[in-house]
Amino acid sequence: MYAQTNIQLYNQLTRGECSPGDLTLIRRAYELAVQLFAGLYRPSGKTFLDHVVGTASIVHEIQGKPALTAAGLLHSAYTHGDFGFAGRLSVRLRSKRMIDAVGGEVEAYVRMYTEPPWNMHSTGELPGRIDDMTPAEREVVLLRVANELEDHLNGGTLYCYNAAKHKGKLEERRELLSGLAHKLGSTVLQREIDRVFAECSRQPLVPELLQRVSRSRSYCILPESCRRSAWLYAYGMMRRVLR
Amino acid sequence: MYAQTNIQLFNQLQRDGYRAGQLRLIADAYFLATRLFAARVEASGKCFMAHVIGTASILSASVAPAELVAAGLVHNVYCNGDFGDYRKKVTEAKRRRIRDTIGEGAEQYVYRFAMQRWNAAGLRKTHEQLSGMQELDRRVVLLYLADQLEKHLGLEILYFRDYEQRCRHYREFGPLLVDMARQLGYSSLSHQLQEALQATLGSTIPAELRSQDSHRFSYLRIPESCQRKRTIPALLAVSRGIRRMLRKTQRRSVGRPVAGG
Repeated sequence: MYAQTNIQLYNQLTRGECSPGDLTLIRRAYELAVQLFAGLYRPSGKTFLDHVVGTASIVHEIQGKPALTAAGLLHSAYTHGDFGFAGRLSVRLRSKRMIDAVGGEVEAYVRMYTEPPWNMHSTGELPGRIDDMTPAEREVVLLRVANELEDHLNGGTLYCYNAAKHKGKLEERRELLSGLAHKLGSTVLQREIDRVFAECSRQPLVPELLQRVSRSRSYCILPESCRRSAWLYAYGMMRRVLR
Repeated sequence: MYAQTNIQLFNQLQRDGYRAGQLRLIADAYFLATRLFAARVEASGKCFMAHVIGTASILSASVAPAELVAAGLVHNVYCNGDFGDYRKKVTEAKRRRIRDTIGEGAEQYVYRFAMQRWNAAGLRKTHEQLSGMQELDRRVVLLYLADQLEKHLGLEILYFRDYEQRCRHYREFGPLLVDMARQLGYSSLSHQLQEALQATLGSTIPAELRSQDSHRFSYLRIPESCQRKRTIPALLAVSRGIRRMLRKTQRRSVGRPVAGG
């Protein structure tokens, strides 16, 4: 059973052998994640925070390296995180904020995770390239696989609006991820992928529990007493005009 | 192990045998909660949604009716939900919104939960009156007990910054909660409450993992590219000013010697 809340993750960490410094690093990563992913949900309706905690928990179970666990908590900071208006304008500001909070090593993992060779479109090519990768790059691939595994935990993808489509692609996804785990030399991860996907394929689709709104990507719900900053509106309009 | 995500809860509901219409009601309550508790975080750092899901999961495991499970997902919405309003009061408009989604029966539980006092005096009174209570009120107490058990799952209380104060509270009132669950006829819940309280009061956690946040209660983490709607801070400032003025006037009148005394 993987952690889904910070409390469960912290309990998982205390069962292992983490130094006080490692625990502080992971707590700070979580606190930053709370700021960046406020109001964000996965297409299944699950909170984004629970998703990143789950990813970190899987990575910790498989790898046990604190910096990588912290990176698990922030893995999609550059793609989904809300750094505010200034952060949206400047890449440097975003990375500075990450480095200030969790240090250069974690930031480097997150940056590598976001950069082209690791994105969703190219995962099909990954197994063939793993042997030529540096250890850090291989760890980022592990993060990618953990992210996918987390999405499928407890049949998570089957609660999305387009659940039937997900169900149809389960076997293809399992083969790819299982192949990656094999190439990474992690039999534990490979076994976990097989177990989780087998559970997922056995699970029935329940239309009553699906989202009523079509959402294929993560989405943000703003608190009702809040509105987007006026600067962001102006920025969006300016970009549209320039385009 | 109780659910902490909607996925785990939805799986549990199917295992617990809720029917299609009941599942739809609970799913609707969940999606309403995602809107009203958007960006809300517990003072322990836990996502607020996980708390309400956990509460609903405990209720489902206690074989509660679907309406009560749905109410569990929005049980504290009148205190902590963001209705786009600056007031924390229960208003008719808010009640109508909740009723429209989860129905009148489930809303009654939520309303009574908000109206009931759960402080020291309120708890003692509830404990005394429990045997003579009507079914509706007894279910509201069950809702409260599920809420309390959820707060102890995984030693969460110890992750709060003011954990010592909270532990003192539970040392005093914990046995009362355990007894209330027993009186309601939920012996398993009573047992779990006792175990959870014992675990919380007898454990320690590394200080490095404790929340460093200054918040004592759950709070709204406003997304960074957002700001409060302009009228709300203004109204909050006005209401704060009025309250401060009233407090000053009160203090002055208390300090003044009583004529003829």
